[in-house]
Amino acid sequence: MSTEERIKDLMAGNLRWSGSWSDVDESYPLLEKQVVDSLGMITLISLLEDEFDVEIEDGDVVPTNFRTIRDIANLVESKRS
Amino acid sequence: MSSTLVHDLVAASAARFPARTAVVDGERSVTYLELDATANRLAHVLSTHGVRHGDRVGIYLDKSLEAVVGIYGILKAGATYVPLDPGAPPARLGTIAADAGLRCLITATGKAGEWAPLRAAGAPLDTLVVLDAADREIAGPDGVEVLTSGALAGHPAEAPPEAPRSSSDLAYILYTSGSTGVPKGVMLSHLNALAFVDWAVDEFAVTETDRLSSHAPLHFDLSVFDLFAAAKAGAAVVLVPAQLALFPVELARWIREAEISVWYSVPSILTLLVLRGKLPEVELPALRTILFAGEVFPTKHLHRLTELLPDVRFANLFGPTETNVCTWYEVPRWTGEPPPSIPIGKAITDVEVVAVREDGSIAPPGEVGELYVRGPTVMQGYWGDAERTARTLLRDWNGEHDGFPVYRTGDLAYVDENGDWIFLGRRDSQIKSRGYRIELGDIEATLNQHPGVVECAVVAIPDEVVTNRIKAFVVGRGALDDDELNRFCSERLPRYMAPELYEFRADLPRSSTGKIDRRTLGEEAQSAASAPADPS
Repeated sequence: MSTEERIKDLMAGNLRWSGSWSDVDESYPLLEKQVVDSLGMITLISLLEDEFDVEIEDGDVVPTNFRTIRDIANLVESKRS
Repeated sequence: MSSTLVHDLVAASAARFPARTAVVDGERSVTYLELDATANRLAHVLSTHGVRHGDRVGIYLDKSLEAVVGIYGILKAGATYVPLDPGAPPARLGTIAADAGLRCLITATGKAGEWAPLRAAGAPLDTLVVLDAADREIAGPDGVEVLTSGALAGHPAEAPPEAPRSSSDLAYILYTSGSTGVPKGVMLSHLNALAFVDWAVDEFAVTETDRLSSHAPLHFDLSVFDLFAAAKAGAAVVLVPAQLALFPVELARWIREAEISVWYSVPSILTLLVLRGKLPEVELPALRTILFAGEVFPTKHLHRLTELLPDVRFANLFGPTETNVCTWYEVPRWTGEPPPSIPIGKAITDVEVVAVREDGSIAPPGEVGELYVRGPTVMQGYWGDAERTARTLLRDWNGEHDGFPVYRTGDLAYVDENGDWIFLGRRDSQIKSRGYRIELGDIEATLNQHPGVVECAVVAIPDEVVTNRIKAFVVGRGALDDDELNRFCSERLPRYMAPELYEFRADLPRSSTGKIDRRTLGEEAQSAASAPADPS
C-alpha cells in the first residue's frame, strides 16, 4: 500500500468529516474543504507519528505540508530519510 | 456619554475616528466611517424588504467583513441578529431558524448550496441578502428573493430613522445545546451587551490604538467582546483566518504580524500555542493582554504561557451565555509551581453572585451551592420557551425588586477566603469540549433517532487539551457501525458534538433505579482511554 493510501485510511478511519471520503484522492484540497479541524489535526499528527514511526516537529505543522494527502506523504517521507 | 444601543457604538466611533480601521479580514479592511455607512445602507435595504423592529434576522456565512456588516445592518434596522454556526448541518440550523422565525438571512455565495436544504429543514426563508455577490445574478430557492450587495448602492449612507428604541430590546439570540436535543435560544438585549462591554473596556483599558483579535465564532458570546469592545473604543478588530487554528506556528506568526494587542479565546487554542507554537522564537511586542473563557485552562500550560509572555496581563473570564461574563480572575505571576486550578474570581461591576443551597437558602462563604447571578448582563430569557425561562430566570428572588432578574446557572461553586469564587462542576450532564458547551443528552437524543439504535449513553472523557472528548456506548440492532453513526451525526450535529469514539454493547449497565449507569460507563471510558496502546 502506498504512503498516500495509508494516510488516507488513517484519516478516513479516525477523523470526523461530513464529506465523502470516496471524493478524496491524493490531490484533494484538504484545508479548503475543511477535512481536518483543529482537533482532527492533533489526532492526525499523533496517528502519522505512530503509523510511520517519525517525529513531526512544530515547524512542520504548516499549511504547505497539509494541503493534500500527497503533501502529507511528502512530509512523512522526508522525515523517514 | 454611554450608548444605549449596540450599533450606536459604531456611529460614535465613526464620528470620533472616521479614518481608523474598524475591521480587518485578511487583506481587506474598512474604516469606522465605511463600516457605519455600509451598515446604514444595509439597514435601509432590510427595512424596505419588510424587516421590522423586533424581527429576527439570521447571519449565515463564514466569519468575515460581510458578517460584521451584517450584524450592524440588522441592529440598525431595529432587528435582532441570530448568528448561525456556518459549520453546522442544515438539519440542525433549520430547527433553529424555524424556532427563531428567520425569514431573512444575511449570507454569502459560499453558502449557496445550503440555502435550499436549510429551507427544506424548516427555515421559513423569504429573503436572502448575499453580501459578497456585488451585482451578480444569484438564484435562490423557489419563493425566496435574493438581494445582492449591489442593492446597497441605491440607499443612503445616513442612519435610517428609528422607531423609539429601548436598551431592553433584543440585540441578538445565541443558540446553545439543549439537553433534550432542541437548541435553546438565549435572548440578550442591548443593555446586556453594553453592560458587559462597558465593564470590559474599562477593566482592560481598551483604546482606539488597540487591535483586538476575533478568534471565536459569531455564535459564541466571546464575539461580543471582540466586536463591540473594539467598536466602543474605536479599536480595530482583526478576524483570525479560520485555518490558522490548525497551525500553531502560523498562528503565532500571524499574531505578531497583525500586531494583536488584546487576544480573547477559549483556552484550548492557547494550549496549542504553548505546546506547538514555538512561542520562544516568536516575539509578540504588541500583545499586552490575553483573556480566556469557556473552559478550564490547565494551570501547567497557563503557567508556561505566562513565563513565555512576561509582559502580558492574563485574565480568566467566567460566565454562561445566559449572563455573558459574571466573574473574572486576574492570573498572578506564580514563582514556584502553579496551583492545580485557578478561581473564577470576583463578580464584575454591578453584578451580584451568590451560592444557593438545595433548600433555597444562601450558602455562607466556604460552602458549596448553585451559583445564582443577578445584574444587567443577565439574559431576557429563552426564546419561545416560557417554561424553561421560568425555571431558571427568577424575578423577585430573595424578596428584592431592583429590576434585574436572577439566573440559576446550574454551576456549583463556593467562595474562598480571598473572596474568590471557585468553580466545582455542573449539577447536570452539560460538558465543555474545546470551549463549546454541550449537553450530553443532546447527542443521545440525536443518536436515538437512528432506527438502528436501541439505546445509548454518551459520556465525556476528560482531556488535557480540549477539556473533554466524547464517547458513545450504543446498543444497536442489525449491522450498525461507527461509519454509519458518523454519517448520521454529521447530518444532524455540529462537528464538535459528534462522538469521537463508539463502543457497541449488547446492553448498558444500570443502576439500582433502572436508569443507565452513566457513571460506570464514564469510568470504563476513562480507563480504556488511558490504557497503554496494545503492542500488536
